[in-house]
Amino acid sequence: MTMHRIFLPIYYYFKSRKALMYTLMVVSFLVFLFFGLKIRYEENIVSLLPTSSVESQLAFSSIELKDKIYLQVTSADEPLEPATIAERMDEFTDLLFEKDTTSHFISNILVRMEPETGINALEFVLDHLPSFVDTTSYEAFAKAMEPAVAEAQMDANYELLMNDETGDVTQTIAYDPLNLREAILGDMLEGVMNGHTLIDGHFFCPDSTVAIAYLAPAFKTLDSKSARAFAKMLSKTQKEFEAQHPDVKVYAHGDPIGSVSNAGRIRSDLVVTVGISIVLILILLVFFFRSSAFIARLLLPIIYGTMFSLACIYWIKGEMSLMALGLGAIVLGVAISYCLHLMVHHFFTGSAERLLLDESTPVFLGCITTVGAFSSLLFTESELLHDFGLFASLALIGSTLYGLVFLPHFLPEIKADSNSKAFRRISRINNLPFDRKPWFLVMIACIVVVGIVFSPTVKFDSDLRNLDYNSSEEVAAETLFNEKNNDGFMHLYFATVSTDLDEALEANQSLMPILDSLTDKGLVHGYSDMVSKLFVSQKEQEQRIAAWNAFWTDQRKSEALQVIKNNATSLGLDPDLFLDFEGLLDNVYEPASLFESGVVPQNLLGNFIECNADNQYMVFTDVPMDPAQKDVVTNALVANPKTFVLEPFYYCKSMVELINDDFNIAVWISALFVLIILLISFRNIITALLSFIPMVASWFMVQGYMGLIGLEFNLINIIISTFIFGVGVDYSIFITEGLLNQARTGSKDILTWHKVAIFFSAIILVMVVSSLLFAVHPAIRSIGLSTLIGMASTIMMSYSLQPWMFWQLMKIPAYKKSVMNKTQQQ
Amino acid sequence: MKRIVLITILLLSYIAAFSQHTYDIDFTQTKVMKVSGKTTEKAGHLVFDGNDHLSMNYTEPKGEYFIIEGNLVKINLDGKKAELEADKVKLVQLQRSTLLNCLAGNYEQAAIENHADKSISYEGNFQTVTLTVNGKVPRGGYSSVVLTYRISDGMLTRMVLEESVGAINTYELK
Repeated sequence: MTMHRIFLPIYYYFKSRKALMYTLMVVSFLVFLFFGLKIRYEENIVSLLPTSSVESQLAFSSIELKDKIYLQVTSADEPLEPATIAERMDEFTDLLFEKDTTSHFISNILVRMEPETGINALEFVLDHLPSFVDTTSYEAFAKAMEPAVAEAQMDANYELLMNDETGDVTQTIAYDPLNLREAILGDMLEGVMNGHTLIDGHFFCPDSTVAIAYLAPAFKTLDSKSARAFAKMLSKTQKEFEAQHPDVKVYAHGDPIGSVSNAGRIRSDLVVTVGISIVLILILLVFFFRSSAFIARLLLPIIYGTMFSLACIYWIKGEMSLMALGLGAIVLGVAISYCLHLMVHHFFTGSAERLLLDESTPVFLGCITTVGAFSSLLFTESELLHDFGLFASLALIGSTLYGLVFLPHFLPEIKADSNSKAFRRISRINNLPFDRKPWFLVMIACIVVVGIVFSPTVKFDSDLRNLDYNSSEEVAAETLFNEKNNDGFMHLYFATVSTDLDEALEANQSLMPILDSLTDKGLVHGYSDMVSKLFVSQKEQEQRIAAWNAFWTDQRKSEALQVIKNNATSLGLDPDLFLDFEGLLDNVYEPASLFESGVVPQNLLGNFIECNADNQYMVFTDVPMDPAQKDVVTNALVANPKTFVLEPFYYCKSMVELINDDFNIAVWISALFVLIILLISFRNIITALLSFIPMVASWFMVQGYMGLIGLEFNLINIIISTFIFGVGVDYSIFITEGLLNQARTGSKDILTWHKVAIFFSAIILVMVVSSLLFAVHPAIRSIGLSTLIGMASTIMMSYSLQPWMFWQLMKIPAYKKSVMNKTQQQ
Repeated sequence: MKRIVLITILLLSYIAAFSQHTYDIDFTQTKVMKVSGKTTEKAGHLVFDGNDHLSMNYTEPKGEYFIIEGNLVKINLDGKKAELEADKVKLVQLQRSTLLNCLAGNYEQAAIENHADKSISYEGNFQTVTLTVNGKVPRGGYSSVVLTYRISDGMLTRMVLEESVGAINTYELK
């Protein structure tokens, strides 16, 4: 493959038509810029992961319960009375609403349980009593009516009535003299309170030191712009309020804030790390090449390629993942590498024509093989990998085309100047006989073998939580909440879902036996079945009403009333006191939906049931568990039909594992592609393998040494490792080209120039990658070390084993003959 | 002479019925538990604007109150503190309305709203209106209300609110 036969004529064509060349370059750039800037960026993690079940998609969707923000107010130093803390919570939420007047980020804040709710709920329950009586309760009812039990209860009632000073107890006993409520309610009320204590209607943690409120954002989970603005407003309001009220501290945490701080951290980390590396790279290049024009010529192809890629993606699909763009930006280091080869070659030869003659083929070959490596990602099911592969491939094509078509016209005929002190030092390093020192070769071979042997030990961490970043403020807020409310247990919400509320309620009902069994095994700790008790499907209500009517036969009614009357008379109580109870037994009951009754206010109802925009009803159950048992419990519960966990990370795990499987396939597809291209290009299986082996060996070395030092692959760094492939194969190709040239012509010039370009490329990439180690975000930091290992492996292989193998092969006459024959053909 | 007395009574009743009743007065409250006979005495000051603003601030026990501000009902009684929007709770709506109507002299309206029978008797300068709820008493509602108005000015002087179970509360306005 001799690409100079294409690019040299293009160069000559434009050389005599400079105006056309400039017009074409500027117009095409403006077109790419115009359309490239129109691209929409997708921050939705769902689209980044392979599509999976409906339930898993729901786990990522906007659900008020999942997306709520926990607000906590507590004493700063001196312990305050709960009433004061409650007052401060009211003031804080009022201030929040005031600040939100124009932005409307807040849908509602559940600050307190309104007394109306309790009264109306009680009314509703009494009006539809049989609907709330589980059929298993009738055994307890029958027991309560036994003469001895009833007598004991009436004695207890008497004591309570005599001591009642407000009338409340009297009313309760009038409705329920046999204490049937114990069988009906159980721990239902505790469940309504979600383990909280109510003080002045406000939610408090059990020790009454922290007031809690639940804020429901008005924006969708995926609206990162609103989430950012809201988080800023919330943080500002918190600070302002704490300054006004130094006696309290305000905490806030929750998914919407977490995602904002995550994104913010990524942005600031990228600014810092990319900033550091750009400054260092510029210092390095200016020091060696002493020309600002050199820097501009180096960067222009990258800018052109980036805009070319963005415009193409805009035309192809209109949008791309922001994360893929971030990852792709690092891959642009490969593009810099090509430009460096071109620029270094020009620096040494001073001729654009010579540049195209010598460099068209290796640069084009490097580009096409790297594009092949990246475009193999298009065969995967993940949009993230698609976007990443597409962006990186197109950016490389764009910048390579610019480098081979436009760039030579900006390179003046100059007198080569490479004898500066700095270049002499580089040459001294490059000319070190790494390939001729047996001890060094043995050492490298050992390193390679150890890497290959240990490569199966590397693990893949599919838990995205480990790539999650939480600010110190969030960690403090979450720790306080867990310490005060969760007894050390992890709380996960599970939801049953259906477009039919009754179906969702029935599915929720079927969760209860599973939860009971998990509780018996000690895997779940005190879950609340309150939702299943309060919200009952129409069918179940009909069954319950039938059971009520079947139980309260006329005979049983009169027996019950007689027992009460007899005991009341003997205690000196007026039997008419219990007329309300008689009324309850005589009522005719119909099923009714508590969800649709309006009795429970929307901001409270959302903790139990939610109906989303697609008319899907979700019925929630809060399940406390030991964090270590999370997977066992979750697997058992989501196996229930129509059930999912409101924990995107759970689904991420399987999706990330799918990406990993995808990725492993992609790696081998790209390896095969690269080998085919190398075969076509070199038309010699040995030479092709010579360029191919360092790439494969470096991939195994990355895995082996990561395994050895206990580093794990994750969603981010495994994607970036395609970059290692790209760079590895490029260095191999350039070294092979240089070695072939030396073997054919006896001149080491091309090899030397390529080595200088590789030297700069490697230094630049090591700088970029090392700078990532300064990142705070675990996802970005994780890229640094794995890529650094990959880079080191690639460079070692290119400078030592590859030349050694080549010269060993040249001792084989048949191979030598095939290499030399190519010279004659060219 | 009889005719003059009758006309005077009718005239006073008319004035009493159509004049606006505003109160700024001390009161006592006696609460008797129907079952145990336990009695609690309370006292305080009542202010009523004749429309929908009523405050009953207790001096004994100090700090307790029952306040109606339009639709809002604020309660701090017997250790229970709450602010309720009357239109959201049927029971509170009925209690609020009954109390305001009774103070304003609109006992007819109170009778209608409570589904109660009304009986009126006269003694000297006082008119006693007894409202007795027909049939089933609404949950937490009053089974009977006895109101004593001063005929000369139509002002309420005594009010007895009897719950179906629980307590009988007697308010004396002095």
